[in-house]
Amino acid sequence: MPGSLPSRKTAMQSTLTATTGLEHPLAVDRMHPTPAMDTLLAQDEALVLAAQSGDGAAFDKLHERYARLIHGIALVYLSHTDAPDLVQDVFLAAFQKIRELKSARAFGPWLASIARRRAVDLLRTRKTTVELPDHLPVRDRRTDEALAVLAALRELPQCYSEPLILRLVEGMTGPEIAAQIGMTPDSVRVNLHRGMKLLRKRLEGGEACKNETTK
Amino acid sequence: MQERDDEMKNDYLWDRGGPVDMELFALERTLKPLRHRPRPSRWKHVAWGAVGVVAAAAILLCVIFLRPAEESLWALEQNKGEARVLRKGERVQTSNAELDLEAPGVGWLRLEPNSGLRVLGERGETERVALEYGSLRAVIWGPPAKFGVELPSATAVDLGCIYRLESNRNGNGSLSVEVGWVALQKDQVEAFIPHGASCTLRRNGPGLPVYDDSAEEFRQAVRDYEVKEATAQLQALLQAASPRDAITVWHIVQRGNADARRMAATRFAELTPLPADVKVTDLARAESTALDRAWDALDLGSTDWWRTWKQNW
Repeated sequence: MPGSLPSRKTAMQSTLTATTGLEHPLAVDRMHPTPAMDTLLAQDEALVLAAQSGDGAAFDKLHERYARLIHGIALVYLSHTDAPDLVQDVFLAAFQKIRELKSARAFGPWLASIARRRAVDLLRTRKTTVELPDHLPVRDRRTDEALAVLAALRELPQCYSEPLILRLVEGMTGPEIAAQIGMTPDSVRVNLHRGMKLLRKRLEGGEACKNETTK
Repeated sequence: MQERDDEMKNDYLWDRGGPVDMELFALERTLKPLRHRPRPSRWKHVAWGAVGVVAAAAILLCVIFLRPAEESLWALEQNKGEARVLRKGERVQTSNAELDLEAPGVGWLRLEPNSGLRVLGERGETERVALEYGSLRAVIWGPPAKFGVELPSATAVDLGCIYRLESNRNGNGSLSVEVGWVALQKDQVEAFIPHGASCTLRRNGPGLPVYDDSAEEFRQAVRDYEVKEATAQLQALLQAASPRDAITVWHIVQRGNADARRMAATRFAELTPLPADVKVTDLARAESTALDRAWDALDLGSTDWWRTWKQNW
């Protein structure tokens, strides 16, 4: 149609500077400043060493810090209702095997690989790939919308879907993702951006298809 | 190997740095219901188990006997990431804290302290809330005109943006648009407020949109004119107007009486060159094509855009 709508993305990205004296409306969703990743990794290393010596409180802390990672990885493969159970399974397995871990610094990648293996095993066992079980509690519209976007994310290659789910669902930043799964920041950044490009095309394609069917 | 395209410069995707990417922000909010929620420890599960059964029974009885109103799209964010879906007609009030509400496919609201809001539900194709008093900030990513705020003195229709609304119970207040556009409407009076501009609200409806960075002399002249609406104040306003203030002057042409329109149309043509086929006299009569073409001359977007929503002129 003539005189198309101003690009919402352009309009919204053009100026988002905080008004003097007023908190930016989106500041609530930003991460609080965190210590440098190196510092966090050093803290995690100390926790792993303590956990390997039998310190349960240290393992609880590791659980707290890495649960989002495992939950996000679970969402790459499993339904959102199965993801919490996988988190518990993975940490139980990790608790039982943590003394076998040779390098405390490798805790995150080690945990992530346990999660992926278990998720794939569970997937093979259940042969479940869609999010429409009948026995679930009644879902609300928010969950339905979320699941639709998750489905689009899961259609992406895993090297893209995993970091994007960790970023967009679990709210982890790129540096956190890189630190916890043991990839270089540059690699994670490239995968996030490539994945986002593909996701945008998929989501726009979905709108185009919807528009076509309503004509 | 490094990629250097626009996507790679998106700091918000990387670490939420830089300008907020609204598409990503909307995706984050949409996906939030699936986020990991820390589970209570096992002993807490056992300790609360019995209480949970009793609570569930009580809730069931309430549902049967009270028959709550229909659910709205809006969910109120509470502690620890839990959200409670609000009912249509439900009121939300704040004292010294803020409350966040969110609706899928629509957007996010922050009700500021000492404010009251009521969820109205859908009116036609627009999802509506009523700001009864106080202030709210809105970040809307739904389609234009999908969301609106009813105020004591006007209705604010979102046309895609971030903005802040303030109103007391008498209808006096203001609207400031940070990104995008908002339209204010009461009866036949409309105002279109672009980003970087504000508009007062009065009991009799919306005032005139003014850019926040307009000269203080001009902004004061607008305030004076809005109070008195007399010729002397109008003359002062028009004299103080710079080319950037032409949007304000356009609104006077659109809604003023005959004398005001004549004065404003003449000044508008001085501030913003009219297309060759548009006469000042036609503009002074608020003739619809002339108004359209004058608006187009502001270079804020074609009026065809407005026709996807609704216009009164």
